[in-house]
Order: sequence, then C-alpha cells, then structure tokens
Amino acid sequence: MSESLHILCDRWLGNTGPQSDIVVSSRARLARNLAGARFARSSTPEDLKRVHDAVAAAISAEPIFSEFHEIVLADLSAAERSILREAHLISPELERHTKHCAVHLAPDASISVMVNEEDHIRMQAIVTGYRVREAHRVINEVDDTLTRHLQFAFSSRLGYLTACPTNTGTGLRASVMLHLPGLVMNGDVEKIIREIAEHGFAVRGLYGEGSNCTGDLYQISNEVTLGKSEEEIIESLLGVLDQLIVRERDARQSLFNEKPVFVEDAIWRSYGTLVQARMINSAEAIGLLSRLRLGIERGHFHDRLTHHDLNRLLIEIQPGHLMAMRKVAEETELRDAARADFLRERLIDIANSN
Amino acid sequence: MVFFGHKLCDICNKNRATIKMTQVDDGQVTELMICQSCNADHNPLHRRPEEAGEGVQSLFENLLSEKGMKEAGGKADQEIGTCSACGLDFATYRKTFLLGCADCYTSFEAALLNDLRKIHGDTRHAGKVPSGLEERVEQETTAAELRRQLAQAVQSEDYERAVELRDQIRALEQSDT
Repeated sequence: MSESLHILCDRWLGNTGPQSDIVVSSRARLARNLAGARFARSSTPEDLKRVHDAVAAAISAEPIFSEFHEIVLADLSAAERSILREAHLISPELERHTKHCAVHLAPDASISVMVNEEDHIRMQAIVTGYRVREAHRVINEVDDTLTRHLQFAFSSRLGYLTACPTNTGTGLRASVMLHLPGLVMNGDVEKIIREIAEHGFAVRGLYGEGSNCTGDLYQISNEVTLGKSEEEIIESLLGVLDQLIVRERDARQSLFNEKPVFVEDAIWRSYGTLVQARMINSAEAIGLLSRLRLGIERGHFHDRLTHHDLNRLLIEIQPGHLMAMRKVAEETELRDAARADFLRERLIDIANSN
Repeated sequence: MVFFGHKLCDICNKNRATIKMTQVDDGQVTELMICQSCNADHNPLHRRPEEAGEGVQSLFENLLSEKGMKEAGGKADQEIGTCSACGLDFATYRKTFLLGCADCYTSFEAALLNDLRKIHGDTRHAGKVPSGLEERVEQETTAAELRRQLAQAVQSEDYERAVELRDQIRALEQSDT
C-alpha cells in the first residue's frame, strides 16, 4: 500500500501555483463538531464510531465525494501514517490517535476531511503556491455539502463550537507555507516574525522554531477565529503576506547585489554536499535544499530544477516518503544512505551546463 | 423581599426575578420584574460605589460575562464546577484547554467568554451561518440586541422604553416557540 499511498498523497503537488518561488502551499481548514455528541477527546469508543459512521454516510451520500478515498488510520503502519502527515494531509494529532480516526481524501488529495481529530471534523483544502482564497472557496463548498447531511454544533452568538476555544466561531485556520531563505540569510527574519505575531498571526518554523528553523520554511496562519467573517480573516492574512513576500524578494535581490560571492558560495557548497554525500539526514537535507532556491533564482539550474521541483523534494526526502519510494527499512542509517542516493540521482545532472 | 414565583428576570432572563420596579407616568403604570443581580448592576439607586463612573460600553456583554467573572473573581477554578451535560470539570479544561462538549460553552459561560475575549478580542460570531439556521440566528441576535437596549433603558431610568423593549422580547420569544 505504501507506494500507492505516497503517490496519492503527493498529487496535490502536481501543478505549479502562483508565486511558488516563495509560497510553497496555501491551506484553509474548518473545524466542525456534530451537534449532540461529545467532543472527540471526551468520547467513548462507541461515540467515536458513531461520529465516524455519520461522517462516512454523509460523504458517501454526495456525488461530489464519490471519488474520495477513505483511509482508516488504524489500518496503516506508523510509516504510512507519517506519509500522510509529511504530505500535510493529516495533523500530528491524527497521526497519534488512531481509534476510529479516518481521513477522506479527494482523488488529487487537495481536499482532506479528517474524522475524530481534536474536533469531529477537520476539513482542509491545500493547493500549491499563493492561493489562499481559492483554498477557502473549495473547503467552504465541502462544508456546505456536509451541512446538508450533518447538523453541526453551532450557537448564534459564538458560531461553530469547537473543542478548543482557539477555534471557536468560524473554525477557520487559513495558512501558507513560506520559504524565506533571503530573510534568514540577511538576519531580518526574527524581527519580522515578531512584527507579524504582534498583528495577531501565528508564525512557526515548519521544522524547528525561530532562527533554528531548518530549511527556512515558515507557516503563517490567522489566530483570531471569532468576531470576524471568513473573508475578513483571509483578507487581513493576505495583507500581511503580501508585504512579507515583497520583503523576501527584496532580501534576495539585495543579497545578490551586495554579497554575490557569499551567496554563490552558499549555493554551490550546498549543491556540492547534496550530490556528493553518501549519508544525509532529513534536517541537513532540508537546510541544503533551501540554499538551492537561491541558485534557481540565479538561473544556475535552467529548467532542470524549478521552485516547484524543490517544493516537492522538501516533502519527498522525509522519512515516511523515502521509506515508501526507496523501499528501505526503518533503520536510520539505511534511510540516510537511501536519502543521499535519492538526492544525488535527482540533482547530479541539474548543473551540468555550468 | 417580594417573590414572584419562578418568573425570570426581564433583563437577563436567567435569574429568578425578585424585585418589582414600578413607574407611574401620566397615570400609566408600568412594571418590570428583575433579579437582584441586575438590580444591583442597572438600577442607579443600587449602583456600587466602585462602579460609579465606569464606562457603559456594552451592558449586555456585562450581563453575560463580566458580572459572572466578578462573582467568580478570585475563586479557584474548580469552584466553577462541572459541565451539567458531559461532567467535565473546569479544572480539567484549564489543564488541557479542551472542552468536553458543546454544552460546556453554556456551563462555563462566564469564564469562557473571558477566555474567548482574551484569545480573539471578541465574543460574537461574525462569520458563516449554516444554511437552514439563518432565521433562528437572526432572531436570537435581535433578541440579544433588544436585551442590551433594555439594560441600557433601565440604567438610564427610562422605564417606559424598558417595558416596550420587554414586550418586544417576549413577542419575539413567543414567535419562536
């Protein structure tokens, strides 16, 4: 199952989105609970099963979901569950809890409906590039469709009632994953993260925190879910992101203009390690791949490595994906060797004509 | 003290009304039945000295949350008790930050409104309403607004307006059932 699972999970990466030189992906998720049932973490196994069955029935009743796959978490190995998480289709929370947990995936994996997460339903749309409004439009339609079959816990004063009050109201979390090597290299990232956080948005390093964030990948999302409409939440997030994207572009440009040798050295050292190493762990690989982003910008790899390819590589070198693609065992050393082989094969030819 | 059976307060519609306010205006007698708590909060004669001069921004918010918090102020979390629907005790919520069921929002209303205000800077939903509920939500929002106006009317001793509002609220609630 593993091989087909990672292919299915990565399908949403299939097309190139706008501004993918900086924005890896855009997501919108909605949290919903069924009225009259306890929230998932205080439920008995029987309650969880009832919720699971009710959601499955709602999904199978609608033609627009007819091509969806249901994946029952308890049927998967730990490695398979990590593939789903690495592809950003399930949360770490769902990866840990398996009892009566499931995820319904759209054929291109761009929509996932998690069942019995912290809330009964966490549905998300994920797309490549900078397309937050589109992600929200898609998931809002899914929500409308499910509303025809399921009665959600809702109060006229507080909106959608969620297990944690940080999601109450719209239950909407809109987020983007950004790659910010320019702002990391010029040292501005810490200051900017603080500024953004002060405006009520959450910023976290995708693999690690703050300046120790491996690979310069950051996720930015709204924190406020109550008192604003979905549109207001998204527009205020986009207002912050538009500025941040400009600053990252400026940072890259200034680095190229002011410290060309410093940047070139960082790019080619990273490239050298990636194509020569015989063992490489995922944190190191993500860090080195990050520097290649600047090489793409300099035109070093022509069209043999695009921003889009790089965004995909960042997911493919994660342990679960690697184990499935290269059919390696779980031992860390073997996996690190397989990762080095994979990266060498993938990257050795991209710089030939230089 | 005069008791009025199990009639609920005309202002907060939560506590039992124990105080009757009567106003005679142009020979017309109007009556409001309110609870002690609302009497203390909104009847200018009973205004606590520390509240004098406090900005009257949103009385209904006051009714729903801050009054509750004042009463619970300083007490340990467990004294807020358990949810009548799922049995979750408040201290557990404080530890996990996870509620047990949708009814916890009612059981721990005062404390939760306070938390929600801290997190979101707001305690009123302004987003999507599930299809089919639009009418109910509009009605409840109108009733809440009328209650807010009622509280204001009582505070400014405009009992004629207060009675008018009370009747509007009653009419709205009857049309609901």
